Parts: sequence; structure tokens; C-alpha cells
Amino acid sequence: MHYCYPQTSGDIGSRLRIPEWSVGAGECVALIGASGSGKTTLLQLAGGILSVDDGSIRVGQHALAAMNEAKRRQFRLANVGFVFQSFELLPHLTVDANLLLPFRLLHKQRISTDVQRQVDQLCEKLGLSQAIRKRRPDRLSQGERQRVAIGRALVTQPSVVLADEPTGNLDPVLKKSIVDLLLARCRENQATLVMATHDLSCLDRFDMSCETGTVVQWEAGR
Amino acid sequence: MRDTFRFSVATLTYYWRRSLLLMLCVAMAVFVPLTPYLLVGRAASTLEQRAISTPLMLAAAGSKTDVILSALYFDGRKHTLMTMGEVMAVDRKRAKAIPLHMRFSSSGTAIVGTTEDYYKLRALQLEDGDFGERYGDCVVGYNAARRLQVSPGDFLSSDPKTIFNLTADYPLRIRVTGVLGPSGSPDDDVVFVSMDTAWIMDGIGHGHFQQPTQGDSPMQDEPSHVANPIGSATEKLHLEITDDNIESFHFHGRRSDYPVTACIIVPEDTRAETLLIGQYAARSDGNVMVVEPLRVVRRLLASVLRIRNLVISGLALVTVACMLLVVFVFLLTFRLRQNEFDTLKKIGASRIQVFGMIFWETGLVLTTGASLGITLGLLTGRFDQIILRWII
Repeated sequence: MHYCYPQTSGDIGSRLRIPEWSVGAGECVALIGASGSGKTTLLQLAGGILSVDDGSIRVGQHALAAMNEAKRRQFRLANVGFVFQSFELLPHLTVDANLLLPFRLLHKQRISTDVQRQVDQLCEKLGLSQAIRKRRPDRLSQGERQRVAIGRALVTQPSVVLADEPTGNLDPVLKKSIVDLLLARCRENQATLVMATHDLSCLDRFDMSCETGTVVQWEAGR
Repeated sequence: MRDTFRFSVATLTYYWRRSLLLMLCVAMAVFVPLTPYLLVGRAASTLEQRAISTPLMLAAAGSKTDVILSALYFDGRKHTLMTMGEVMAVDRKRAKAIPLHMRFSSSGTAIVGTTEDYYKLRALQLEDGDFGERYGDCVVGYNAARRLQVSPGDFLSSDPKTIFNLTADYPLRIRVTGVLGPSGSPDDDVVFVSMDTAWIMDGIGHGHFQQPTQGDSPMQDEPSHVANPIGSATEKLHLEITDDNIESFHFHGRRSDYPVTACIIVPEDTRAETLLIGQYAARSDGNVMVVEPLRVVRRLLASVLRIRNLVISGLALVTVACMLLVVFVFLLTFRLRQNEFDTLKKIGASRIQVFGMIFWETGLVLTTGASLGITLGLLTGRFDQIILRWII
């Protein structure tokens, strides 16, 4: 597949090319590489946030290249969980409201008791107490925020979890616990995890690691 | 839609200082032009209503505006007096004539001399007491009673016209026999007395300890002790009319010569009205004039309303500028919150959902602010008298 970056003034633009790359269902893959090597772009293409200009991307049975934006959005809501480096929790919503956000966006007006039970269990596993769940993100520690972000990514039990340097803003002790948490929850749900990271110390816990240089090729111009 | 609304409410609550400021801004932008519009409109309507209920006004020739402001709204301005003879000359078959005498005050509150017909014309009802039948009795308007802190049985004194000439217009102690209910008109702010009482204040009628000379009798038309119409220095005048001294009160001169400020004329019908206007227009002496209050008030109001429209146009421009600033603040805020919207889109929110949140946020601020402004404007209009009194 090819992806062309948007051209800016005075820039001839660049093109990212991936001849072939596959990740098995339920596998936990660490994606490593230098800054600007295309890790985030790769994750955004896989999640349907960006669309390919040429070629194809298939996630399970879904051919993303053939989908329009609305369909990719629906696909993302139902099948993909995102974890971001800067958490990206909505500041005006409580932890509970942030966790339920994907359900709300899916137009599930009323959260069923099953969903509520599912959220309660997930929070228990993530160590989010009832007190924490009533707070807004600005009253949480960094570790708590990232656990909420992981919870939001996993709440719909997606088949794919894409994590973009989720430990980038955390101290070493927290880093380990967050990676362990993410791996444990994904393995428990049998979800495929692709995590971009600069932290080489955690690679041994993944099923495989992949260097972007071996996956991505760069071409100048559009 | 319910969820986007809920998100918007959560956002507005979270950024409550900004939301509150914007709402107040919108409220003020609505309130500022609305309030003068309502206040002036209400005042104009009140003025017009009073003019409508006063078909014609007879007064000495002079400024029509002065007569109307003085006799209709009791604003205290002076106008040349006419005689009671002019009132008596009004054709009773065609119209009812209600004389008005406005030369005196009590603690700054105008004392209006008139007849019972005036109360009927204005549909004034007593809240307490009665109208009184004796010389020296008065009925106090609703606001005036509160301002002067009087109730039936209390007394008021007319203000002396001059403190240097004690023989002229000496202060008279008048008895409050009734308090009128609120009418929302200038009648609430004055003290009403009979024409005879007003003339006693004028010095035309008086009572003294020395028995009047032979021939004096109350309400006589023929003059008596003409050489000294207000009593000599040796005669001690009564400063209060009581049951004991009322018999000593008497009037001098011809009743037809007694002073009257103006006279309300209530014609029997439109034909009578037209005939009366024609009759006075044809008079060659030019001593009196017939004024159509509604015409004078409308001419006055036309100027006021033109100024109001000018002021409101200016304020409307301020409102537009204010609203543009609010829009600018919103745009800046949304730019600052671009990351939030990007996150929502990354998670899976559609463009419509994101726009829905922005729409609800903006709409809630604008509608709440505008509602607050309108409510404040209406409340100001409702309590305009209190507010105007407080401001002035």
C-alpha cells in the first residue's frame, strides 16, 4: 500500500510504502523505530483514521481501502481500541463518562446492565475504584489517566488494540505496570495488540517485535 | 442527539467560568437595547392612555404642552390661570366640565383642587376612608400617602407660597379623610381637595375669630368687606377648618372670578366635541383655548419615540458588535479545543456528532443568555416605576 502525506507549501511531499506486512489474530506486536519512521502513520492506517492512496489494508474480514470515511468510523468504533501517548481523555467528562464514550458514540443511548457489568469488571481489573471513576481526568495521576485510556480502548472488547507509545509519558515503574496491564487485558480478550514504543526493555513480553525500517519504505514526492 | 446534548452540558459545566461570562455577555447584549425599548414604550403607552381618557382640556391661552403636562400629569409647571366663569360657561347640555386647581403643594406633593366628577372620570377608588365633604378635607393618592406617611385622620399642611408675606396664601391644615387605591397614574402622587378648599388656600375663602360683617355668608357671589378681602391684621385667621369654626368660613368676590388652572371637558358625543372645538376656535377674545390632549401627547411622543429609535439603533449596533465578539470567543475556544475534537474523531465520532456538540454548546449559551436578558428586560419593564425612581 501507499500513503501520501499531505503536501505543505515549499515541500515536495513524501510517500510511505509498505510492500507487505501482516500480524496474526491475537498476536501482541511491538512496533519500534526512530521518531518519524512512520509508526504513528502505520497505526492510523491500520485503525482507519487515515486512508490509503493505493493498495489495500485488511483487518480481519474488513477491507479498509474500500471503505468510505463513515464506514471506517463505524469499523473503528466496533473493532478498534486506541491508546494514545498523551492519554487524550476528555477533560470535561468523568472517568466513567470517558470509559463509556465509545458506547455513546455508537448511538447506544441507554447503557444496558450487561455493558455496565462489563465496565465494572474492566475497572476492577484496571484498578479503577468507584471514587476514581467519579473524578474528572485533571484530578487523576498520570498512571490512573493511562489506565482510564486503556479502559476506554478495551471497553467495547475490540478485536484490535492499537497503542501509540502509551508509556511515553510515564516513569519506569509505571511503564512496566501499564505494559503488563495492556498485554494481560489484550491476551484475556484475545485481541490483537500493536504497540508503538521506544522502550526496548519491554520487548521480551510481546509475541514479536517489528522494526519500522523493515516494514516501511520511504519515497520522495507524491 | 441526547448524548451530544449531554456532552455539551458537561463541557459548559466544566468550563463554567467561560460559559457564565459568555451567557452574561449575551444577556447584556439583549438586555441593553430591550430595556429602553420596553421602558419608553410603556411610558408612552401610559401617557397616551391618560390623554385618551381626557377628551378635551380648557385652559387660558398659552402653551398647549405646558397645560397638558401640568393638568394631565401634575408635573408642577406653571400656566396662566383662567376664571371659574369659563368653566361655568361650558354648555352643560353638550359636555361635563371638571375644573382643576393646581397652585399649592404639601411637603412638595401637589395639591389638586377638583370636583367629585374627576374621581368618576379617572375611576379612582378609595383604599381607605372616605372622600370627605367638609372644607379642608383631602384625599391622598396611593404613592403620596406612602411618601407623606399619612392615613385617614392625619393632617397635612399646605406649603406657604412665600415666607415673607404671611398675609398671602397662608398655610392651611387639611384633614386626610381617605387614601386612594393604586391607579398607576399621576393621580397616585398628588393630594386631592375640593375646589372650595383650594380657594380657601388661595385666600379667597377664610374663617376668622371676628364675626364676619353683615352680609357675609359661605359661598356668596357678592363681595363683602371688599376693603380688606383677606382680613385685617387685627382679625385672627383660622389655619385649620374644624367642626367648631367651619361656620365662620366664607368666600369673597364672585365665584365666576375665582381662579382655575384648567378644566377637563367630557363631551356627550363626537358631535358635541366637534361643536365645542369649533365654538372655542371661533372665539375672538383669545382668552382661553381648547386643547385635544391626545394630539398634544402624540406630538410629544413622536419626538420621544424618534429619539428612542435612534438610541436603540445605536444600542443594536453595540449588540451586534457584542455578538460578533461572542462568536469570536467561541471560534477561539473551539480552536483551543481542537485536540478534544481530534480525539473524538479518532475514537470514532462522526463529523455530525462533533458539530452537534458545538451546536448545542453555542445554542445553549446563546439561548440561556438571551432568555436571561429578555427576563431581566421584562422585569425591568414590570418594575419600571420603582427602577426609574431608584435611578433618578
